[in-house]
Amino acid sequence: MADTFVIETAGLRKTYDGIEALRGLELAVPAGSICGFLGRTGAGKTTTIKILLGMARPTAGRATVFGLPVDSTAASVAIRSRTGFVGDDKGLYDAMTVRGMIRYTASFYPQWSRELEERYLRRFELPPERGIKALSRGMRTKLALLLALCHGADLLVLDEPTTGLDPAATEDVLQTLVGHAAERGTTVFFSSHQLADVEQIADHVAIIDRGRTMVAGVLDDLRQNYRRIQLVFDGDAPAHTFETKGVERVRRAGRVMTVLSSAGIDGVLGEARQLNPVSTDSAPVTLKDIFLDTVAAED
Amino acid sequence: MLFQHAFLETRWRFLIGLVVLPVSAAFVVLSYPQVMALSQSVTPATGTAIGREIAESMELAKTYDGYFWSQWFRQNGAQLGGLFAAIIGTGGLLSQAASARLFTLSLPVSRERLLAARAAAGLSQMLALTVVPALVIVLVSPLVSRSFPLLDALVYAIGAFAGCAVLFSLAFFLSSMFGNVWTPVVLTMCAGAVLAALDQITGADRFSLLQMIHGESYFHGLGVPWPMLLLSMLVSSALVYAGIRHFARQDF
Repeated sequence: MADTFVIETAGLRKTYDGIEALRGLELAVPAGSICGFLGRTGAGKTTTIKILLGMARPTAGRATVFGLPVDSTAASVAIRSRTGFVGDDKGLYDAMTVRGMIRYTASFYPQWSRELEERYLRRFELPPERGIKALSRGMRTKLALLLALCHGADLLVLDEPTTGLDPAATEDVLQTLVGHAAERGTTVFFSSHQLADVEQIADHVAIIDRGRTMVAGVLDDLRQNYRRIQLVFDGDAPAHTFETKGVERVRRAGRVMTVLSSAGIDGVLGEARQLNPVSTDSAPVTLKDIFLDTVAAED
Repeated sequence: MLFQHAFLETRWRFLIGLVVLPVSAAFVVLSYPQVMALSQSVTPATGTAIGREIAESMELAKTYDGYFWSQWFRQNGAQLGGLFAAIIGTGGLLSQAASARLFTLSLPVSRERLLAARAAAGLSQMLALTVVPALVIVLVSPLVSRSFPLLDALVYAIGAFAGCAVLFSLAFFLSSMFGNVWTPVVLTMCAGAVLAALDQITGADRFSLLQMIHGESYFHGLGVPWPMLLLSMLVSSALVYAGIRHFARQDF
């Protein structure tokens, strides 16, 4: 794929009735990546996805998908023709059958693959003649995923794809996503509350909070570079503002100072020595730690 | 496919109309012998407004054309046509379940095309709902030993369609503002009632929408009301366009 970044936003803002849902969001999702889009409820994940797909218009800033501006009607149609979408509620037409829904959706995509359709119908064990209304939540998710996968999309945008699924269905959906992306080089951009899902399949991650990007990058690099450094002092931990680059958060509790660094430990330890701690300790952090520290820092 | 889907969305309302309107028209035809017999034995009091209405209807019923025009095209057909115009015009994307709406909006098609397909499907259903009862009248009339000219029936139907298209388009436009199906129906019916009241107060003229739905000028030998037909089409198009533009600017 020629695009370096499939999704790019710069200074993206969205205001609903005076409430700022996005406050200068910066995103860059590389082509071919599986990017987990994390944030608390109300952080702006769904708003971002809606803007990317032309369902809502940005108030300010820039957003492009495949290099096309999302706020142009013609470009938005072109973006959606190359994008598969699975919404939070797995919204489908309840009055249709599974087969009717597939035929209807296929009619919008000249490149629809009957072979993929058959493959995923079998894999997901979807009953073609059953009404959508009678499908379980898991079945609806699988059908929504089938509809998103079978038209040869270059980008899959999924809003909380595994919410409400049992572990087996979650595993099935995640494995299908990974397999499809690996086979076809599809870029996957998915929002989730499930950190375990993100850790399992994502190679990139973007954490947002209150409409702003807090952390973004390659997941392995984040794991590698993020460290929690604990400094213990004789008396109360001093109030100190670190100048070392990469210090994301500093917490003090009695004699203990905890520093979250996104740039390894050397710089922080060098600066911390000037504070004369009695002991220092550092430990790698998990994605959950990064997420919690990042969003908690905003409170 | 968009048109087909839009057509399917309102198919039950359309099918109910496709049963109710022709059956009602056929009932008016088949009632003709009884009404004739009754009209010869009753003399209405003309001192009241209702009495004068009844007397006028009985006067018109002296001819089959007059009977049919007063009973169907001016009353039942016009009222039912207006009602179904509002019912079929309402709904659409805004009143879809939010999740299904997002799926629709994720398809590679512009909102303008989605809405235009919905308007086209609804108007074609309205055309069928006005033309089919007219054809039923022509076909059923021989059962009561009468005939109704096909050309007259079609002229009345086209007038009714053009008028009902305005009501349809008003409901369509209101549906781009309200997220439920009933508010546009109620407001459209209120608009129809206001037009009827204005006709009563001002004394309807050739530029009355309801008189065009009734086929008043054609019945009285004044020919097809071309200016009003054209005006109705313009108003209808403007309302549909405004509805589409309004919907296209919204955030979801």
